[in-house]
Amino acid sequence: MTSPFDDPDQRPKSLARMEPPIAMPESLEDRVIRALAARGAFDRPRVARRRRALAVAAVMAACLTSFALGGLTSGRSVTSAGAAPGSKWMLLLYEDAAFVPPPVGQEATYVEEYRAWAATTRGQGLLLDGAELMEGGRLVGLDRTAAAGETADDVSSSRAGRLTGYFVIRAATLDEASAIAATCPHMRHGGRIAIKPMGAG
Amino acid sequence: MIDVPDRELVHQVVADRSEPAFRELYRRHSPILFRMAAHLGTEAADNAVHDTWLRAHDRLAGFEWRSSLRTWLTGILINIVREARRAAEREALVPLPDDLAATAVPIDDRLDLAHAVAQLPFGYRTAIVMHDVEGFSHEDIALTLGVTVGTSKSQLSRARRTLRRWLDPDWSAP
Repeated sequence: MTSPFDDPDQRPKSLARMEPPIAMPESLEDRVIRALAARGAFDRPRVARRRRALAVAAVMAACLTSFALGGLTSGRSVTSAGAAPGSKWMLLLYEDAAFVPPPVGQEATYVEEYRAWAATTRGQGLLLDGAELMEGGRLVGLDRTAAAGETADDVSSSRAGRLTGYFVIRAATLDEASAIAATCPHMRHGGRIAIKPMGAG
Repeated sequence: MIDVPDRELVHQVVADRSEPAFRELYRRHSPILFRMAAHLGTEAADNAVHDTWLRAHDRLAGFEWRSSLRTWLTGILINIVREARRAAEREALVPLPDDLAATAVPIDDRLDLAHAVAQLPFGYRTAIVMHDVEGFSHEDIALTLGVTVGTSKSQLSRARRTLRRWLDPDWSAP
């Protein structure tokens, strides 16, 4: 009798059952999507961007309301509340094509994520301020920039994407500030955060 | 979206730049691409799949549907794996010497089918993995590798003969 091994049109069972030595990582899908999105491969609907913008605005409003209610609008308040003193850092939030906006109808999920992060970070005495930066504005300065047709949005954008918001945090070192930034939901959704040390003024 | 044919999803990706349509294609075809890359012995199978999708997306608008999307994607993957291994492996379709099956392998390896497959030269391994492990037809293999159906069958027979000799040193070809 002919073995399946001898017939090139048959599949030997031992080989058909063979499993790969490793499993596909779940994170691979988002990695591929981010790479393609960074190339501008996808047309993300304007309505989604608009709704996301509204969602982020709501988060920022909630944060600022919390600051006002909690009396935590200044570094002095935080220090007097018992938090460890340290340097102030500005987290500049950027979004490029890799940023994944909330699916239509699920904006509340993002709102809750940012709200929870802000509440936790504020509760630790680490978050001092924050706001969304809206589109528009005006660029003032030398004539050469105006002649080039640059706008405020142009100069506030970079290879990291469009500047869409900021947080001010307290951290003793850049590494600590980086660790705090890494926990921000903005990172989870494909955004980037530039961390800048702030002066004493 | 599960019931939407590949052709319609590809149209949505190309014409509408639809991310959901691309995600569906990714979820539909990535498991087999990853298994192929892993079985072909690629150390970074995830990188191979990643690069396959990026290259496929670049060429998607020109895809003419002379094969299934799965077969086309697999061809891209094999090329990427081959490019990565070119310096270390023999080319996929260069005929190998008949006495390869007599090459000694460590005794422990004879007991492990997956390990034995991994030891095969790249061309033999591709034939075994595509046909026997993943179930591609010889027609699809021929399309993917740019060979005839007869070449695909003979390549598979040689690969199996080598594998069998390694796994069972007492076996002799009929």
